[in-house]
Amino acid sequence: MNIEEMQTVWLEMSEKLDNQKLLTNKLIIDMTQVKFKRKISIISRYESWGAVVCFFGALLIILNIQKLDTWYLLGSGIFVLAYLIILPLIVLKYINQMTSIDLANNTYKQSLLVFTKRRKQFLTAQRVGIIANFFLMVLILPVSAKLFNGKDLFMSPGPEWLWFIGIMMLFLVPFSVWGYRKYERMTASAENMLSDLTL
Amino acid sequence: MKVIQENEGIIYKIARTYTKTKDDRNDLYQEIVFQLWKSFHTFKGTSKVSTWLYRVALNTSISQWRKEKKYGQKVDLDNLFLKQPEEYDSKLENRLSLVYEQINQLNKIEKGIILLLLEGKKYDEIAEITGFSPSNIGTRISRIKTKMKQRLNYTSFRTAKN
Repeated sequence: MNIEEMQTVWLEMSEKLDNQKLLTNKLIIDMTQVKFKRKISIISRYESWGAVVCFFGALLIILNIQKLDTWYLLGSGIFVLAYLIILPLIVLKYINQMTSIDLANNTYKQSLLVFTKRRKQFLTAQRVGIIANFFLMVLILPVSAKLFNGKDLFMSPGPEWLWFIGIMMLFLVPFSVWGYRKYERMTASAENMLSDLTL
Repeated sequence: MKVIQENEGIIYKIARTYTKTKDDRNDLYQEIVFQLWKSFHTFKGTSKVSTWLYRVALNTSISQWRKEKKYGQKVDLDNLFLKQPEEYDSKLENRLSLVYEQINQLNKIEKGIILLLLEGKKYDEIAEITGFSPSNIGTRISRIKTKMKQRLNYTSFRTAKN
């Protein structure tokens, strides 16, 4: 089917559609109200809950930071704190940016450009998160062991640390490889879209 | 609301172009209506209402709706609108399926352009809605035509071979 044939069929469909006026005021109001509710419920979902958990963890560390009495424990604590505060904030910021594109005044090209760029930033943050997960996995145990049990695992590493790292690796490595590949594919498609837009 | 009601056919066509299933179509349709309703007060009147409407609808199709489609309740439109085109004429629907089959092989940018072309828009209007230059639109349309022709040749070759 060539373009001209497609246009004929399209015109026929348009005429049929123009003849049926079925969208009522009530239906429009219903749709918009449902949408508002959905928007609010989405904000309170996954990302925000994840961030709350992270911030709670960060608060616990801040309140007990004086217990991290050596430079290496303090360094580990600061890394964990930074992870728990900065990463969720960045991810939430990018998600918020993606949902706040000016759809009414942007052209199609502008929206595609902005959305694709913000999606790329979001994916980059996710990839940084995946890498940081490995450091977090190694460092969170000595930090929590010191905070809650007063034990310095760096000086006297117990078998629990090795077990913990071993088990976490078992889950984290395949999950991270899967996630990283997925993000890579998504970023590549975003890049293709960007290069196509600049042609 | 009047603008939305007057252009419900356009909203339907855009929703159908960017989705594959009836559920997704229903969902995108509602998202477009919502975005049009929400952003009408920002319409400055510097362009035609139809240009603004196409922009909002196309922009919505490429960005927001997908993130939300799995959550929450939806207004059931099945008995009101989206079922209609499939019902009115099975011959037309078969030909329409062929049209959408062609459209579905295109990427997001091309989909937007071909949709506007099928809507009978001139290159200048497509350029105004999409933000590309008219000459760029011309280049892209000829690229789309080539792509479709290649696909057509390939399909004919496969059919002849079988």
